[in-house]
Amino acid sequence: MRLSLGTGPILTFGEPVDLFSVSQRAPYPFSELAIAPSGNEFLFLKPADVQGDGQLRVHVITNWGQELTRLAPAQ
Amino acid sequence: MVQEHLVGETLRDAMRGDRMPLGEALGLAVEIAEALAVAHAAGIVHRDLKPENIFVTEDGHAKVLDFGLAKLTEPTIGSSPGTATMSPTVVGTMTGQIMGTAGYMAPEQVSGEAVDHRADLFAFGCLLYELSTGNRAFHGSDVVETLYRVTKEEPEELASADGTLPAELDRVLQKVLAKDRRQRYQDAADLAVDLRALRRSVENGTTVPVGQSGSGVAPALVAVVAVVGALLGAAAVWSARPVPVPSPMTHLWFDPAGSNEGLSDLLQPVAISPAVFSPDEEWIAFVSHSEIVKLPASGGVGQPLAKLSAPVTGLSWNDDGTLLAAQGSQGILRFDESGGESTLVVPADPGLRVQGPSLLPGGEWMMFAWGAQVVDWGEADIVAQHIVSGEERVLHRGGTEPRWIDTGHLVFVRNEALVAASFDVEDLRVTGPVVVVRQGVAMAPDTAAGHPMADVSRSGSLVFADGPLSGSGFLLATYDLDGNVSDLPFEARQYRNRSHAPSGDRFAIEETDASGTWHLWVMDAVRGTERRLGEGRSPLWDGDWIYYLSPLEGGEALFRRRADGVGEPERSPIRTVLATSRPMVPRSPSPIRTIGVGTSLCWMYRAATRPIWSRWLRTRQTRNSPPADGTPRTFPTKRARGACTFSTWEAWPRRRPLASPRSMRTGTHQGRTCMSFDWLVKCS
Repeated sequence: MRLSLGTGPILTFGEPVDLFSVSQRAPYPFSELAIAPSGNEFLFLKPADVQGDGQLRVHVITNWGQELTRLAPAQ
Repeated sequence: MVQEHLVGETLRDAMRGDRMPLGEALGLAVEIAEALAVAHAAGIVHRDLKPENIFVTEDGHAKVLDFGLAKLTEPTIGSSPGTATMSPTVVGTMTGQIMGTAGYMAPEQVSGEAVDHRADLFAFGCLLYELSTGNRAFHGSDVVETLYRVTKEEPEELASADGTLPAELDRVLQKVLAKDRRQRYQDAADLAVDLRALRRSVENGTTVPVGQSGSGVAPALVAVVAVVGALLGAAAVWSARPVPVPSPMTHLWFDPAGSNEGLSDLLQPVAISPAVFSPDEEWIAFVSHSEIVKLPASGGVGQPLAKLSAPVTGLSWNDDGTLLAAQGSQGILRFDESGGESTLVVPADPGLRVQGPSLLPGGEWMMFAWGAQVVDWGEADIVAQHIVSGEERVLHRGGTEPRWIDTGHLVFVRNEALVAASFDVEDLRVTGPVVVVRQGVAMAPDTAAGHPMADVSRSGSLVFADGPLSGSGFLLATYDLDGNVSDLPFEARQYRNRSHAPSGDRFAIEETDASGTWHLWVMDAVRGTERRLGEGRSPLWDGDWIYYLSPLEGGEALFRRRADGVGEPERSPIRTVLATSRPMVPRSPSPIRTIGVGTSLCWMYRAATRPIWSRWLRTRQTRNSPPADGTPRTFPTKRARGACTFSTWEAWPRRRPLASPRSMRTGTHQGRTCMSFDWLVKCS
């Protein structure tokens, strides 16, 4: 989204308008955008290992507590 | 045909024109609900449930009579001969006609809609209300007025009828008498469960009178009553369903729409995070369009549970039938799985964002992550708060989505990895080293939520979505205004905070290496060159200087260095800020994102145990006005520090943050034009 901003003695704001859909263009998790001073570019962090369509795969591990106890022994 | 011979009287007669003792009424109500559950399971809908159709045996048990009678016969309008109908009966079998007894009819029956078993539940609610109060839930001078009240009005409030009746009874009645059948109990079995619990509470004397459950009792106490006894619930994105049988790792595709018609009808897939299972795994709850909705796990119609005022940053469904929802700076809400009003368990705090709430065993302590308003979730702390005293304890610095597991571990997320440590739940103390137990856990796309796409059940089942491996890091890329992505030619690292140069061609960015050390880099996006500036973090590019935090004896200090790399790092002229010492821990200072360009620079520090953002503001407000000469100024308080430098604009915090960037306001302050954005105010 973006909106116009008038910085005269009286500050004015325009209506926000859509720029583009981030979720459609970045199906992977992404950080918030850093806006360049020009306002024409947005810096973001892109996961280095995104492959294919970026779809996430869900893992289910039962009895994971056993592995947990092995990795982090109770004190 | 063989029929049971019953000796006793109808419930109408047993009531003797008055209400029944509550314990006795609930005993009968449970049996009626159980009978309805059996009938409904067999596909039978009564459609004319009322006291005349309940038989109370000599030994005090309830029998539901005339099951399916209205469905199988077509009596004439009026009372049926030979029955003890006390109110007018309106019948019909054609579409659009109505059938049932006026004072016990569900609104959809009145409207002539097709009815299902939920109409019986509404009638049951009318019956329960009458049993409890001795008054009809809906009663008019004639049939038309009665039907009008059924569809348009609520019964007299329980507190007005009898303030000593349990608040839980009021909740059950509100739910079972919901006008919209989607808001009611969806089956009699659930209703019976609640009634049995209520009966136990009445027997044990642990109920709260409805007359004292509102303003008559301190809100905090109400919250405590509501939460005590709750156990650790399901977690943030997907609740792990405990599976007792060992099995190898299983790969599944997460398909939120799937074959679940209810989901696909209600939502877009992107809208369902976070989602949790109910403890019995019969339901799921999720966020959809500013509402928390529950839906049968096997599919069906969604039911709104609670309205939200801010994005959810964590959700759990507890064993006592309550849900906890964190809403960033809006605090933590608790509400019943059947809906109704929500209770603010952790109050809103303008300087605090909360995430991932759950209850520790015993229900006395709530656990969640919190961070200062301007701090990202990577710097959140895991804390416990006593739900009675409000005492706070920091359990671990750095982490989100804390969960207790019966193995004796505290499991949470840090840097996209699942980490764990042995934990003494009695002393609320981490007793072992924090170790990474699963790397590559994806975080929710909405980074503001701060939660992972993972969950651990209390019994130790794990579900997670794989994401970027911690060791792989991030590449840097840009969007243009059309959304086109351009990769920048820099090595993948664990980047985080960054700040552009005023010219826009360069930016400073923070990296965390494997040892946890922060490094600052200056990247030239046009030339594709990079230069390490030094050790530090939280950069803010301000004119020719880059301000950042760097380690200093036992803590961190604000440094600056020329952006072109000439010269050595030097301590920032805002030295007074750095004079903080114990008990202040300047752990999470972050640059305030000022509006516009120039030399405005603000830093905020938070205290060791809590970001006393509001205290800082209060102290700030006791002073006269923002500095006009650009002199750096600190605002010391007992536990927090802050400082700003100013050029042509001044900046100081608002009392409270505004809801969104669209909440920008303009105004005047001491004759100067001011604008506010988020929690920052600037004046010309």
